[in-house]
Amino acid sequence: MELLAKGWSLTALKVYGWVVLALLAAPVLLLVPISFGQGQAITFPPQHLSFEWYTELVEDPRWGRTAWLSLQVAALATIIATILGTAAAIGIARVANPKLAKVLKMLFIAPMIVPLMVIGVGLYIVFAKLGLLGAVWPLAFAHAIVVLPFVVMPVMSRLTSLDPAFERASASLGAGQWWTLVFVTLPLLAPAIIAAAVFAFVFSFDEVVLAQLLAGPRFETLPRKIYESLTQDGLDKTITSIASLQLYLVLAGLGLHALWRRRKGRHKARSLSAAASAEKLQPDLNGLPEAIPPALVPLPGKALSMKDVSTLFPAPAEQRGFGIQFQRLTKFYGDKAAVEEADFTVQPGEFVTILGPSGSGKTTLLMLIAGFISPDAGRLMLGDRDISRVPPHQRDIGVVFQSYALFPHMTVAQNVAYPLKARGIARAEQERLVKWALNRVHMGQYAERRIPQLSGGQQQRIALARAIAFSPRALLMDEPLSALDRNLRVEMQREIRSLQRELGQTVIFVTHDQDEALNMSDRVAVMNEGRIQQVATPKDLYLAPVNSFVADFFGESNLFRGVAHADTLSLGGASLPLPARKSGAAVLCVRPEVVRLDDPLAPDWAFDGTVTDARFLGSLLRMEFATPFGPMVVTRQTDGLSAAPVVGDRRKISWVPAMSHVMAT
Amino acid sequence: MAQIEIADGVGRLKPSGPAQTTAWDLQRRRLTLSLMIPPMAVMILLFAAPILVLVWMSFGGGSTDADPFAGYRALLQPVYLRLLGFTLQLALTTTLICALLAYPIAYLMVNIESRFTQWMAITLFIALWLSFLARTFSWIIILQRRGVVNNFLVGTGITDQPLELVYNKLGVYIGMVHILLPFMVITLIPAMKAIDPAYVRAALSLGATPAKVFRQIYLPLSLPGLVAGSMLVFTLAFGFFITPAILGGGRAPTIVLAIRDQIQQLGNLQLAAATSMVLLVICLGLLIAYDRVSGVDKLYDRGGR
Repeated sequence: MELLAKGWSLTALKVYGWVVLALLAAPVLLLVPISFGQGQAITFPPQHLSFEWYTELVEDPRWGRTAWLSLQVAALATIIATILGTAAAIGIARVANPKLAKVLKMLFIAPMIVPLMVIGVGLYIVFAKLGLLGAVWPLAFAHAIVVLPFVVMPVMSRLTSLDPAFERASASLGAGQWWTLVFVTLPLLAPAIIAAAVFAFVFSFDEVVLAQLLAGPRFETLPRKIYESLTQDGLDKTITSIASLQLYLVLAGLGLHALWRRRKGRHKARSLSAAASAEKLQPDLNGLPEAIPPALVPLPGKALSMKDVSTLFPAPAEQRGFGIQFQRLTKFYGDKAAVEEADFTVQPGEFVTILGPSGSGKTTLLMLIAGFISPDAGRLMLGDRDISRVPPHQRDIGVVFQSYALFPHMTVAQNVAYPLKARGIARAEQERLVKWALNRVHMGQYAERRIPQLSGGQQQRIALARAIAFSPRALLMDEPLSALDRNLRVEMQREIRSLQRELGQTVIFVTHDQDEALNMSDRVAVMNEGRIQQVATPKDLYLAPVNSFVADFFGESNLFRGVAHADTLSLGGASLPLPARKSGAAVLCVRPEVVRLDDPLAPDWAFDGTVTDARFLGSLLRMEFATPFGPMVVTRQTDGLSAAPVVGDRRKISWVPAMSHVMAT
Repeated sequence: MAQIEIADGVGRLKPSGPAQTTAWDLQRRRLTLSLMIPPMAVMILLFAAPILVLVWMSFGGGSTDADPFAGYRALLQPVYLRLLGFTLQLALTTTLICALLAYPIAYLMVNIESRFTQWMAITLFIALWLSFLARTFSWIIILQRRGVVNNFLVGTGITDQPLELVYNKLGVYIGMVHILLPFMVITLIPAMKAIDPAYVRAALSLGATPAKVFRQIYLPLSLPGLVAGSMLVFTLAFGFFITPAILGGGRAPTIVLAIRDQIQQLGNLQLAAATSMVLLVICLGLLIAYDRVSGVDKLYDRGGR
């Protein structure tokens, strides 16, 4: 942060800071030397040192008795407040209705806002009627109520900072609601819960108002006794030793915490550097799965040749995937259809990419398949089974999330074993499957690592291993590569593809990146404004798009809108030839690479264009022309022979009509 | 399953309507409900019910012979109005002093990486975990007639007579600020940490002076934290018992102390209940006002400790 204070004002600020620090700390620290002073007089600095005020604590049984009572009350209050507060925090966070959630939030904050004395008087009247004064349990419950906001607030704040994908991931891996709560949500909340519990304990152990009102005369807690010796008997010096003891406890707790953090930090630093060095060596030390001939496994970091990758892969060794059928699947948000009548079929073992711009409804479609939302109309079939209304944890669909959603409190092996455990698979079988899944993604030696110790690419592999470990009926991937840098992304694309083929797995892959779609898919479903526009192989999508959106979104194109009569398109007084007969409004699509410039055999409909821009894009030369029909894009392979045109040059533009494509819209 | 399939006939397209609930939604709702039931039950039984009883009690508690408004009428006596006035003044002054003192501290802790940050964090930690009683007690030792400060002042000859520093309003102010300051600092820190340093850099690069950047960028952005902290400190100060009771020595009576006396010395439950109602209404009014200004949700996502 850029400092807004510099020079003398910064110095003044710092001096001020240290003065306030001293003022905050001094009164507390002062108690320690005084507690070691001899005699009744409270003097600073003490004249003679002695332990008499500490031995007094042990010798006078009243202190022990009140302390034991307070301890009981505080322990009970802590347990009650922690359990109720955690339940309330998780519960409120799950309430969908915002108005209800707000009312609940207000209610659970109220005990912090309403003065203790008011709550105390109310409870006093009620407890007096019920004969509950002067007992441990009622006082503990009263303390718990007052401290509840201090549990609910931090736990909920921690909860909202967690990735919501954790819960979804757990469900997609086959865990029910309670299982997710116990094994995922609660462990992740642990730090906040522990801090809240400590606060609850300290509060209850120090509470005077409720203790005064709700405890009978023979029921004396430690703070109440301290309070009474402060106000009535003058100053009882024993309090200095009690306060000092509390200070020692706090300092000991602080020291332990610091020690624990340092150890954890060192541990983390060590394993991080190990991870980094291991990653460099990765190509050499990968334990390759034996079932697959080594040549077929694209090694990380080593690029395959530019030949058609698909010819390298044999038919799938296994056929695990099920087919998925979308039957006019529809989902509304309010009046707007987020997904409208999605109607297509994914074959078993097929790799289908759902491609669309953001807001096109592809995420909603994915959530429908995974089962986190339910369709308003239509059906979704997985194999022969209608899964439209099946909860996500019973769908057996592996999901790889954009954020990976690997559980940070578990090791790699525990993460991969999670879906197996949720299905109650025997331990030995679990171990075998974890090993199998990790080897499939070349992460065999990382089983005992913790998730934060892994790089992005490694996490991606583990997420994949976790999703295939339970042999799901289909795999769903939500932009899983978007967090990786370009080189790693291309490598992972290849690996995911090869894994999918080996396993014969059905994959639905969601992305907004058309290169990714082109690289990986058997077929691509292009989506826009909630509708599936076209489902086709990449080649068909490019050469025969069904409409101008697909033509424009999937690769670059020059579109001419006009009216078709037989095999010509009339627009603005001119006419262009069509590749097929058509009538009515039509759009002609001409891809940039099929446009010919100054063709000696140019037909008579050829028209002039002026170069407005020419750019060198590596293997391509990209030119923009101003033409009577509007701007056009033309690309050429850069072969080093033809000279690039200069801005302002005029060229005759034409193409072979058979290479163009005509659409209705 | 069969029922659902029939009810669901393929191809029917509803323009809108309530989303259909699935087994997943039902399970979610069931879990949410079972999580909410125990805390709600306890809140209703031990928080809402006693407060309702208090309302009922403040109007005489159902006894036929008593005047139902006796409690509230008694509250109109000047002595109670003065009490209420002093309590509000105490809470407001404490909040203001805490805000002024805490803001630079939080700024230093968030924006400067130094030993100060560590030491201050430790000090705040101790201050928050150590008992209010112990901290209040230590101020008696420091401020009393033969305490540390007076010994020093008399010993060095700065004053002839020991000063009256405690068992009066001054002592209460000192003690309250000392105890509540850490709450203000820990509320300000996350709010300041949430300010993207890029805003400050951008403003400086656009030519604003540091003083202007602070006034026009940093201060407004940190205001939610200041409001939340003030809210917390004010309500704590308003209902605070220990420090005014001990350091006030009977000369700084607050309304909370009055309620205690009404019960323990006067035995007048109706009056105590009516006085509690006044406190309750003020505090709940504050909660609602806070919700209007900055939203109660903010208190729930401060980004943790």
